[in-house]
Amino acid sequence: MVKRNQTQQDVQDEADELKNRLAETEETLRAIQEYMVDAFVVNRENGIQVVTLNESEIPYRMMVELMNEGAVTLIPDGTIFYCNGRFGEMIQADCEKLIGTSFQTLIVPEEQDLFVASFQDAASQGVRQEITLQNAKGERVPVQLSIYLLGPNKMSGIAVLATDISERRQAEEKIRSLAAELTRAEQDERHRISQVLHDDLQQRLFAVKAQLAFLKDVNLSADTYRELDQIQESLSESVAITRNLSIDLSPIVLQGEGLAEAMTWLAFRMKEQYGLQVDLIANDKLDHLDSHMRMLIFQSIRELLFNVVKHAGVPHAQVTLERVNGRPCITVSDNGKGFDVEAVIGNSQAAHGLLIIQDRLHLLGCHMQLVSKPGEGTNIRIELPAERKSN
Amino acid sequence: MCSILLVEDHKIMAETLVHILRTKGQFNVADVAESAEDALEWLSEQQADLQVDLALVDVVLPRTSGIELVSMIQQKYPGIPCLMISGRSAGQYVKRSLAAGARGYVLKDDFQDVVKGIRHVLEGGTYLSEQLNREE
Repeated sequence: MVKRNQTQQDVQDEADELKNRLAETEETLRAIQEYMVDAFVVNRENGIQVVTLNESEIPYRMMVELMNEGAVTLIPDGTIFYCNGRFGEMIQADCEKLIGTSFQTLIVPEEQDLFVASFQDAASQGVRQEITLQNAKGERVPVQLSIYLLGPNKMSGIAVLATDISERRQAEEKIRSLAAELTRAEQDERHRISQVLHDDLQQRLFAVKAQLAFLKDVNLSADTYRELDQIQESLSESVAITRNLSIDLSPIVLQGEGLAEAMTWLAFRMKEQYGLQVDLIANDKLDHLDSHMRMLIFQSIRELLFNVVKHAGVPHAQVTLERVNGRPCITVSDNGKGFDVEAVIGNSQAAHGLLIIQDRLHLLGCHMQLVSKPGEGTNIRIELPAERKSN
Repeated sequence: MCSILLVEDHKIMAETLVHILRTKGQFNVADVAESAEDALEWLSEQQADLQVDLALVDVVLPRTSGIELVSMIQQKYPGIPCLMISGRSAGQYVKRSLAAGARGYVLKDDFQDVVKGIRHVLEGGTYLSEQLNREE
């Protein structure tokens, strides 16, 4: 504030002093921002104090060094600027030797493109990505990466947190293995029961039928003949039930034929037994499936087709075998009543069958996607995991 | 009287078939074998005395299947026609049986048809159960 009695010189002097103080303050701030000072002196009411900037970083540095996750900072071109000890342990290399190397080179070759895409995405938002690192011994280390910018743009640096998910992957693999074992045991038991039905019960029924036929050669009353005919008819029905049960438990077509052939047979059975016309479109035969996956997929598709018979209100469905983005897929679709997916899936009783199918498929690494709306039909796609060796 | 070699592993079924062949078909049952191995052993034991006009073979047998047995009989004893008998009507069984050299396929639940099929094959023809023809 300019006092009336101040001379022009006084005003000039005051302005010069303010300019000098502003320049000094700006210089101090610049020095702090560029890490050129570790501490500064302030004059407070209770005396002169030295404030150390580094002291405020110590807890955070300790946290980064001691945490169980690997922490890496990268400069914009993906070169490692810093990494903590945990990351060095993951890669089984000295942190000092990692500094200056490209992070991408630590990733298994077939996933490097995936990392590059995630790295670029991190420019706009934080990214999470599961990826496989390769340590100094050439061993694979599956990790989950969290990639995010340290400032408003890449020039501030990019932080990468790496969480070793080896144990989780092993647990998932164990679950898949157990699920496969369970499926295998179930298939074997079904096959055994199917064999008993066919090889024993059915044979006995045939023999009883034949023996009844012999009685017809004896002179019997008309009423007795009529009863014999009824008994024979009941026996024929029993044979048919036994035969169908034996086939349904362990379809012959699954023992040696591929999935496309099995679907052809299933379409024939659905038409024969339930009047459902099933159109099969086999853009890919999906011959690579092992026998147990084939059986699980067969049972799942059969259940889904049963649902069309029970709920869709139409006599027509379509089954498509194909690859989508390289992944084997089977789709069951109809133009029937449709349903509110959220409402049905949220009701465990109503969705009981669907949920069981979904869970069993998930245990073997498959993903089931339901698309439906009331009045707009239903489309259910099953995505299978990557190629598994056929046996 | 024509002689039939019956190859059937289910005891009750075999007894019933023997009764049918003798009483309904007026056939002689030369032997009942419970497996493909037993059938081949019996055939080789007969040598010059072999008098079998037809082999009635169950599709499902322990170890070696009936279809494989038919193939072996056709190779070693081409003069013996084979007729498959089964409870299974699946098309793949019929096709594979005929491809192996069987002269026909009959179903167990119609014994009149079994006798009819045997007579057809003994006369030099081939025979498929009427039910199979309907399914095709």
